[in-house]
Amino acid sequence: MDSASYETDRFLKLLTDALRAGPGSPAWHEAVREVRTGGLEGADEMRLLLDARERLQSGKDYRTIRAGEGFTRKLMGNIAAERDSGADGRRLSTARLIAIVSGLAVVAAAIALCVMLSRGGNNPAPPPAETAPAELLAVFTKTELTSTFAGGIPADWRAFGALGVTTRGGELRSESPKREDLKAGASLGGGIVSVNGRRDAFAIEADIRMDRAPDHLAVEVFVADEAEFGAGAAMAPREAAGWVQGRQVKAVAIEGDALPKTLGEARDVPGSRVKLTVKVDRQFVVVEADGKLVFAGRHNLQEDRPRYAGIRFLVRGSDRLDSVGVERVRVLRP
Amino acid sequence: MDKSVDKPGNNKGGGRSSGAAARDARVTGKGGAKSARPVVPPVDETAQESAGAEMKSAPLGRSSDEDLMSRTQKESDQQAYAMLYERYHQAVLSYLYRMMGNLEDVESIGQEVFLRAYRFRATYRYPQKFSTWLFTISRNLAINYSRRRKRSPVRNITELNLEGVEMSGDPRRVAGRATDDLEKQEEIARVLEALEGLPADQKEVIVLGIFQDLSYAEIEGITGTKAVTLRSRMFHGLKRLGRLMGGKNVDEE
Repeated sequence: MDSASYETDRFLKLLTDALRAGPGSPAWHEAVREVRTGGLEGADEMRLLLDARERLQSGKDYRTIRAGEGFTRKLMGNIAAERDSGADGRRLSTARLIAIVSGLAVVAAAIALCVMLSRGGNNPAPPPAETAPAELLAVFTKTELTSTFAGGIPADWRAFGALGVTTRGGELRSESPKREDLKAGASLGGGIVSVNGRRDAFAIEADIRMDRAPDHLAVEVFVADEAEFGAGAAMAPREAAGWVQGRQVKAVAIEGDALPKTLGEARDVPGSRVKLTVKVDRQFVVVEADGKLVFAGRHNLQEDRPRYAGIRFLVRGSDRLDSVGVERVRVLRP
Repeated sequence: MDKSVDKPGNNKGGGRSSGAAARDARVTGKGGAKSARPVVPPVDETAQESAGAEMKSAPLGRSSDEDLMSRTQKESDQQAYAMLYERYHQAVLSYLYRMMGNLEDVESIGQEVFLRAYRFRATYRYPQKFSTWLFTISRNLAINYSRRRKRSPVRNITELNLEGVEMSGDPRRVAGRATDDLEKQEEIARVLEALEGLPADQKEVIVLGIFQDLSYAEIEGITGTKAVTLRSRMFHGLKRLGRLMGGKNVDEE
């Protein structure tokens, strides 16, 4: 029979539909019925064919595999590297790529030679800045916890700080601070912190809405190694955090009563929403805004202490602050 | 248990400002005065009630493949792409294993499939189904790899960490899990083993149509072969398997 028969011949079309869809499908039932009762030519061969299909159905798990953590981690690390290198999907031809790389290598060698000669070889180059391990830079794919705020503050979190927080419009927002709590020149803090501490590598990610991005309000996504907070700004002794204020996001480190230290460079937030992610392991922190790297490097948290993740609002002024809210918080694992 | 991470990674992005004095990370605009704690400069404006926040985009888990791909294209959204990877990595790796037959190839090509899908994300065009586009990449890489592949020494597959390989890679184990009937177990094992002996085009339509559960139209989109020809290959492929299952010799067709 020619190929065209498989779509023009009603039974052949039915049969090949049945073979693809398999036992249990409507086409299968109809095809089996016709083979058994229809007096078809070559019915025995058709039955053998259907039997083979049934056996394949029983063996459908054959060679089913999933990727393990190592495979996924390697892939996501490579993708993160592509993203950070600014690759835009256009590829150079191999020959052109080799030519460019070779040219760059020659230029780099020439520069290095000049530097060595000018220095006389006595001043070693400074060590490269530490960033973070590839595993921490990669995308964390396992969601451990998703918290939304339509029904109040979820049980996985507790409120802290003199600045109250509330849930309104499906978001976490700060309350208006009480005048008696405000001190001249100081800001007031409060938020939510995880009830349980974690010791493995994890990420906290917050979807933040900023309709007007006022300068007198900041939102912080933080990881601390203690769940006790001071008065006033309600900071923990040591924190690694992502900080959104106005239309900028930056990474900060908190160390006791010292001034919070900005890490790396601030990045602009162009839109009215930002997804701020803070990833930590025992030694390093990565802060990302909308998937783009803000900072990667060592944090100041004590290695042997559990980590508590949280969201903090910092305000000055007693006006209502509904132009900024946190729509969702997730905790993720690599 | 968290693994101790001691080694710094490659220099990817900002590090600490070396030797920089601690700057005041104030909650303030630029150029504000320093103080002992985070300081917010006073602002006289009255904050206005917001209109009420509404989520502008669906949560990632409920987004369609095409929406996730759109986010990946427009925003380089790695979370969206990671969601697509979670949805499809089993299907792609299983397809490669069924077609290539050895795990070293699956490891190499599997990484390359998803890396290329991300790298060339701009080439994906709606309304083509994302799964069709992804399987096309997988198929093309598998074909090119088979053509170029030279025999190389077997190496340990530690990086791939494939789960369940032992259970699903042996036809007899698969058959044993499917039924207690020994005769049927034997038939199942024989059919699965016979897959390897099919002509490549027949094996491909059986793998894509039956194991990957794709329609003839989708397979046509992936392979470029007309559906009527795919039906013919399905028919003849299963006919051969039926004869092999029954212990008969297969005549050349």
